[in-house]
Amino acid sequence: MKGGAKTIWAGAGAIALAIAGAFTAITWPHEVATGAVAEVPGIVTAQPPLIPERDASGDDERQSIWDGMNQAMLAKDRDAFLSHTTGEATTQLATWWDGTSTIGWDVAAISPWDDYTVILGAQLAFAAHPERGSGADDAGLQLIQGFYYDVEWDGELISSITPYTEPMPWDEGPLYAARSEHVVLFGAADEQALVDANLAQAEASAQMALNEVHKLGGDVPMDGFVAAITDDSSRLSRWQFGAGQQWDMDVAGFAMPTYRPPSSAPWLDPRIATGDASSGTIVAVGPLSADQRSETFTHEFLHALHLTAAPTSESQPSVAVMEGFAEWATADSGAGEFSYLRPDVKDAVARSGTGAFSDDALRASDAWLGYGAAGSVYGFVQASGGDAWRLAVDAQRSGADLFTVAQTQNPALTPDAWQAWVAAQ
Amino acid sequence: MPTAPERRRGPRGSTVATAIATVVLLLAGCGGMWAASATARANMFPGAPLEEVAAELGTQLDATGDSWTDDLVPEFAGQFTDAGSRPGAGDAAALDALGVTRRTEITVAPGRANGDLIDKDRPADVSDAYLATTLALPDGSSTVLNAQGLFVRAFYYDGVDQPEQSRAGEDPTAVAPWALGSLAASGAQSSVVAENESCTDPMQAMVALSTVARTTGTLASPCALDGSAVTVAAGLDAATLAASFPVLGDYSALPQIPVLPGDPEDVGLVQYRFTAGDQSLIAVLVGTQDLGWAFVGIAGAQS
Repeated sequence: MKGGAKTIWAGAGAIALAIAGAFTAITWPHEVATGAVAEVPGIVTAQPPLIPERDASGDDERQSIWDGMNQAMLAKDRDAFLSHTTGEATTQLATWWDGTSTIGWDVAAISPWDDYTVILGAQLAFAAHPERGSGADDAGLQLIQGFYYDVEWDGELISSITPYTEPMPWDEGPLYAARSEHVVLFGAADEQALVDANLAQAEASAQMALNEVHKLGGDVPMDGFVAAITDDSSRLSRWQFGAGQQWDMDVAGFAMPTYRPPSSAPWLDPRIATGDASSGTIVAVGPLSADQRSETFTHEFLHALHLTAAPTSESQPSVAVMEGFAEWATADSGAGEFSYLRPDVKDAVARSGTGAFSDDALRASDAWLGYGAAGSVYGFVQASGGDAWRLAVDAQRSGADLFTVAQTQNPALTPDAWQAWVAAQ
Repeated sequence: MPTAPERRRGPRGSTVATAIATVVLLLAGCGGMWAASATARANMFPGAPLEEVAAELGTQLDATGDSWTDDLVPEFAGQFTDAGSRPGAGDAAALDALGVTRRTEITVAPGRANGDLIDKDRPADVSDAYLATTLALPDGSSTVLNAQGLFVRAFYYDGVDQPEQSRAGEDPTAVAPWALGSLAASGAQSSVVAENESCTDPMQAMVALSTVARTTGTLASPCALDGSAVTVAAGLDAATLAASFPVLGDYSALPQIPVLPGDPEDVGLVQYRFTAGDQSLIAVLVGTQDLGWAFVGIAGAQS
C-alpha cells in the first residue's frame, strides 16, 4: 500500500473512532442519584384492605336510633334518650324513665321486635345475677326486666309508645319507692303512705321466702325483690290484665315474668342477656291482700325465686307447677297454713285427683281449692323423701306434669299414693 | 518491450473500500459503545439487585427489629407498623410467645417496565413478588401463608422530586432502590387439623370461647388445637383469663392485627386484640386444612 492509501485508511479509522467516541460520550449514562423510595403512580393501583371492612348492607334502617337510645340508657342520659321521640312518645318514655329510675337501675335496653313493636326494660333492683362460671346459661350477664310496647313513627322519631298488653306501674305515672334490705316496694306516687306502711311486712316476707328456698336446698342468684302495691283494685287489674280477659278468681297479688330482648342485635351490649326465656319477675299486690299481706308477699316472692331458678320458656308447664310450689312453700316457710289440711281441699283431691289442680281449676272462682291440691303434691313429695324444690325446678323447665317429674325422683310417687297421703293428713 | 501500462487501480476503488470500512467501524464502535452504555446504565441505578432485595426482605421479616420496613414503600409499611404488625406474621411477638416459628421466603419474577411487555428501551420499574411464610406450630402442624404483590422502584426525571414510572430512552436523575409496594393474600396451605366442624369463622370461635369462659370459668374450646383447652403463653394464667374474659356476642367486633391484606380465609392467620381485666392480649387463630379455624393460643400484647 502506498503512502496515500495508508493515509486514507488511517484517516477513515480515526474519523470512525472519533465518531464512535463522540457517540459514546453522548450516550454514556450520566451518574444516577439514589431517589427516595416511594409509591409509583400508576403501578400499584389497587390492593385489598389490610383489615376487611364491615359489610353494612344488612344493617337495620333504624340502627342509628337504636344505637342512640341504648347508648343513652347505658350513659343514664335522659335527654339523649328522649331526643329520639316526638309528640306523646316524649311524655310516655319520660314517664317510663322516671318511674323505673325511682325503683332504680343501671342497665337498660330497647330493641325492636319488628317495625312497630319493641321490647323496653331495665335491670331493676334485686335482679338476678347468675355468677360467672356458675354453669348457668345467663352466667355473668345482665338481665333486664322488659316488656313489649307498640310504637308509631314520625319519620325517624318515635311518636307513640304504648304497652303491647298490660301497662306496668311505671307506664302510668309518677312512682314512689321505699327500699329495705331485700325489697324495693313501690306504688303510685299518690299511694306513698301505703308503700311506707307495708315495707316492713314485705321485708319480712322476702326473708321468709329466701330462707325457705335456701332451706329446701335451692341456690338462686338473687337476694331481693321488686314489688308494687296498691289499694286500687282497678290498678291491680290493669297491671295484670291490661284490657284483656280477667280470671274468675279474686286476685290478691301476682308475680309476672318479664322479658329479655329476643335476640342479640348490633345496638345491644353483649352483656345483656337475650333469648326467649323470662328474665325476672315483677310482683304486685292489691287490696285483697290487705288481710293476708304476709302470705301474699311470701307466695309471690317464692314465685320470683322459682322463676329465676327455672325461667319460663317454650316448655309451658301447667299452672299447678308454679302455684303448687308457692302455695306449699309459703306454708312451709311459716307464712301461711297448709291448705290441704282443710276438708274442702281433701275432698277435692279425693274426688278429682289431679283434676283438682287443672289449669282451669286454678283460675276459677274457687281456685283456692286447686292451689291447696297442687300444693299438697309438693308436701307429699317432700314428706315421702323426695325433693320438693327439685320437683318445682324440673317440672318448670321440662314442661312435664308434676307426677311425671316426681316419679323420676321415686317411682312410688304416684297419684294414688298422693291421694292416700292427703286423705291421711 | 515496454511494460503494459498497469491497469489503473484507482483511487476510486480504494475510496469505496475505505468508506465501507469506515462505516463498518463506525457502526461496530457505536453499537459496542451503545451496548456498553446500556449495561452501564442498568448497573448504575442505585440499590441492590431485585433478587437480593427480595431475599433480604424475607430474612428481615423473620428477624426481630423493624429493618424490614426499609425494603417496603413507606406508605405500605406504615399500614403494618401503625397496627404493630409485620407482613406474614402480624404480631410476631405473639407468635414467638406461643412457640410458633416462622420462615419467610420472597421470590420475584424478572423486572419489567410497568404495563409494557414489548419496549425493551424502558428500564424495569416493577416486578411480581411472591411471599410465602411458613408457620410451624408447636403441635408439629404447619401452615403456609401465601401472598402476591409488586416490587417497585421509583424513577425521577429532570431533577423533579416526583416519583414516576421509567421513561423510554431518557436518563433519570434519580432512581429509588427496589421496594415492596403491595401484597394481597392468595390463600394458605395448612396441615392443621380442626377438631370441630363448628369452627368455621374465627370471630365466632372467639364468641364461643367467651361463652364458655363466662359460663364455666374455663378457656375450653372445640377450636383449640387439641380440641379442649386453649393454650396461653407463659406468664399468663388460664383461670384468671377465663374469669375476666370479655363477654362477646354475635355482633361483637374485636380489633384485628393485620397479617396480610385480604380476607381472613385468604390470609390463613387471624390475630384479635382484646383485654381481659387489665391485661392486653392477643388471640391467635390459624386456618385449618378443611377451611376451618383453630386457636393457636392467647398471648400478652407487647404493643
